Amino acid sequence: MNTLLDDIQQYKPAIQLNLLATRKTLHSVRVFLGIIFVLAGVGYVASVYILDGQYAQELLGVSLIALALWLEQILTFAYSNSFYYRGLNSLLGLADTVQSGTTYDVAEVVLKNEHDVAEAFCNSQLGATVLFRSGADQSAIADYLRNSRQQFTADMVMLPEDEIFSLIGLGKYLLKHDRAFVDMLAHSGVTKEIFLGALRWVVGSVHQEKRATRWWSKDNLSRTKGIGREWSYGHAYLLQKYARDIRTSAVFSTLSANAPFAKEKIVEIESSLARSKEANVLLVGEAGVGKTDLIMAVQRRMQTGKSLAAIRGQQIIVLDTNRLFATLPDKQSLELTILGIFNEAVISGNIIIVIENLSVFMREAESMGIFVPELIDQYLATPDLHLIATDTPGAYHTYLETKGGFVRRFSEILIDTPDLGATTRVLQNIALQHEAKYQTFFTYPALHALTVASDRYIVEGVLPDKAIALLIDVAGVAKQRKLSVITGDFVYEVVSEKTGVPAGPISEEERDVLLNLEDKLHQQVVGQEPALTAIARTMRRARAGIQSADKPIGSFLFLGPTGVGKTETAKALATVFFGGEDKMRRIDMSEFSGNDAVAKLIGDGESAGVLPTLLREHPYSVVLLDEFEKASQFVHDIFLQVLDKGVFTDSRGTQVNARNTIIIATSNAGSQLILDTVQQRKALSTLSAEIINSIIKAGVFRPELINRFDNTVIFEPLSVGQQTEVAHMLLSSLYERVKEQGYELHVKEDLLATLVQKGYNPEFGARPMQRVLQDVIEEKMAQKIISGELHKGETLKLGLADFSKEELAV
Amino acid sequence: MLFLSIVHHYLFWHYTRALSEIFTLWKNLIWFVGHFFSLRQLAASWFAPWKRTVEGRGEKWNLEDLAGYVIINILSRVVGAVVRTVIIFLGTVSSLVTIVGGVLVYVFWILAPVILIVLLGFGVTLLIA
Repeated sequence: MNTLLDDIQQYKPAIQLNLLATRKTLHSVRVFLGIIFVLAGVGYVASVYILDGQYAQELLGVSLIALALWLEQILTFAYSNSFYYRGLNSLLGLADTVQSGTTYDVAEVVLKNEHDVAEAFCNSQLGATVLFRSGADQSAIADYLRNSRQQFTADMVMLPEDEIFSLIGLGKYLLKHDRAFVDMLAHSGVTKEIFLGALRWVVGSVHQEKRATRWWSKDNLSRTKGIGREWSYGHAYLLQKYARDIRTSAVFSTLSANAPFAKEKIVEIESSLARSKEANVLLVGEAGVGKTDLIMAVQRRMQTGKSLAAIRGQQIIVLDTNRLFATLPDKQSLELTILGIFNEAVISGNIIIVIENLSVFMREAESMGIFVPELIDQYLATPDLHLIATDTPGAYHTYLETKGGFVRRFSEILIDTPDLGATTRVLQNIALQHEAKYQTFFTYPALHALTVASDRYIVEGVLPDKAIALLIDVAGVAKQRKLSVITGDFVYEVVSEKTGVPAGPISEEERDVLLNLEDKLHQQVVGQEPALTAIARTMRRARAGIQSADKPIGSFLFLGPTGVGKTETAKALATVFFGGEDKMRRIDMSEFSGNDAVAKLIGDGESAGVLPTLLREHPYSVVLLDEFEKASQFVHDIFLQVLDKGVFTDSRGTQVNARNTIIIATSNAGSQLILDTVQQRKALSTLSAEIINSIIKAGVFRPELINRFDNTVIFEPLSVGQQTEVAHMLLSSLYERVKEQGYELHVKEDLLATLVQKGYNPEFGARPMQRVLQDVIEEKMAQKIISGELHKGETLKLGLADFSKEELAV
Repeated sequence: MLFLSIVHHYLFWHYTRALSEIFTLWKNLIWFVGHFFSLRQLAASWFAPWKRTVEGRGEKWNLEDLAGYVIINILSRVVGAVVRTVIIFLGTVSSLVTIVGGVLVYVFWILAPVILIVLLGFGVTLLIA
């Protein structure tokens, strides 16, 4: 087995040459010598024919010397290139045979210090870029290099026999063997995965640049479109009139980033188009998933002769359906134009028409009285024309599938949303493109954060589209704030500002809130210690990221009698987590008990439905499902999915995201048992299982529904002491309202005690208390104001003595 | 010493690996010429009508229609054949030039170090003399 030291020796002279004069310098020298050669040569000719041979010999001498040196430079350039591009094809998967050995990059790095490859890596330009991209701390790197540690020499690194050893291989070696190196990364909060991701990104972009400069490679030469390829086919004038540039709707990303996936889909598309009849394709995938990118890739392969022989030389034209409908307002002209376009394409013989969002096109045509399947069906069967249509899975299931035979003319190809890893790789190219524009620098953790945050917190759109949009937003904010390096924390900061949801690392202020969540909730809710503790624990788990991300932030079933603080707790959560009580959205579930309950909740095709509308308008909120037990069983079934996956499909087939909400269902079910338990002075905590079982037995909720909630929280009836606290809170609120009107109010303790006694009712909780305050205090105050006894700026002090027995008999 | 080491390494590369790399490049360029002039596609459709410009024969037999059909088709094919012939000719010439050029490059490459020294020596001589 060959060692790294042995293998890099072959690069040594080329790299030493490069150290003497860089490739850029060599290029300048080459150009300079070329110019000297030409000028001296022209001078020689001019001298011979115009100046009677004066200085001719000298000029010829200079010209020949310049030519010799220029030739030497050409040979040097070829020599340098031979090493500079070595192994590139193998890395890109383009090589026909398996190659082994190191790449130029590795040799360039390791030759800096063969006795300490880690030091060579950290001090090389590429290695430093990798460490910077991965977010490693500069002082930690300096400490690592300074401190005593085990050193790895180049002859200790064994090379694999069946693959090229690139800088990625060297990085993997360091991760595996150099403990101090791993500790240094860990000290900066850089995981092995993050380091490898950054390494792949940097090495990948360097190789991409190299590949682009090697014009003589077959890959680059094949990009040139040949001449005369379409001469044996006709020209589709009408179609060209209504054609649109395919690049206007492409994401430009998925392919390079997720090559094996793209390759598989391209093969599927080409095989379908190469069929002898019904060679049409329907690409089904969410908007922004990269359907057009795949079509562009197929087009590129056709132009460069790489596609299947049956479709080589075909041309792909995107039909601009918007222009079609805008310019042809009546049914007859539209029908004739569509027929004309398809006829022309058939005669032309090499055209593949692309219709994006097929269902939208068909629906619009339908609104003008044109039934598209009937109109174009004859063309779909012919081998002379191919059609590629695209649509979303929702529209496909709800609309296209109902068209039966028409859809069977197409081969359906499902384009899945790329996973998080593939999305991060997509962002690598996009980030490089935007770095120069926004004068910022993305770290790899920033890209990782962009992927995770867009998946978790951005509700609209699909990956990679929404991740790209977020990247551009973040870059814009960074430029405004004159930030030169975008880190993962900054990404989460922007996402938090954008959505109002706390995301990413927990800040000092938020840490304080989370650790004292019970106290924060207690500022609004009286009593209910066990309930608030249970909620706080669940919310802390959710924020720490321990809970599954594919669910709502939190979900609770609040059980207990009326007026014990269930709604107040929901409001308190909205205030603590989303910044205000207005972030709590209430749905009265008693309205969803009839036969039309499901249609009202998720829509019926025409109307959008209460839940999808609420979640689209307020994706970051507390959703309070009041009187949940009154909703029908079918509605409960929908919530099984919402609570489990955090998403559901509305009546239009569109996925609705509920992952950024806290879902709270309240119910009075089991209230009597709770009251009885309290009256018998038994501990509620020991009886909660019994209470839940009784609810299940009564058929109010099914066990699978109760199990879907993060926690079932039982609210106790209020004690007299707690009722006094409630009264104080209600009075404080009344004092504030009165103050706003210009008066001062003070209620004495003797009166308050009497009112608490009158307002106490364990069955109805705090509500009777509120009514008593209203009927006694507010009524008295109103009388005083109307009678003119109380003027603005004055203070009204009320005690028991100020009320008659009748006035207190409420 | 460094200079000598580089020169030695270079000369070894020049007469070994470089020869196979030139061959790969040569193959790429020959392929490119064929690709650029679409030689295979044009040869396969050499006498096909120009951009499928043809006249229909008409549903009923009619001398005028038949004559139109024959004349337009012949004209279209002639135009197509002439244009394609020009491109095929250019493509073939370019391919031959590339093939012959490749051989010349090989000859030149083998002699390059000698040519370089001769040019340099001759140039210096001329300058000094």
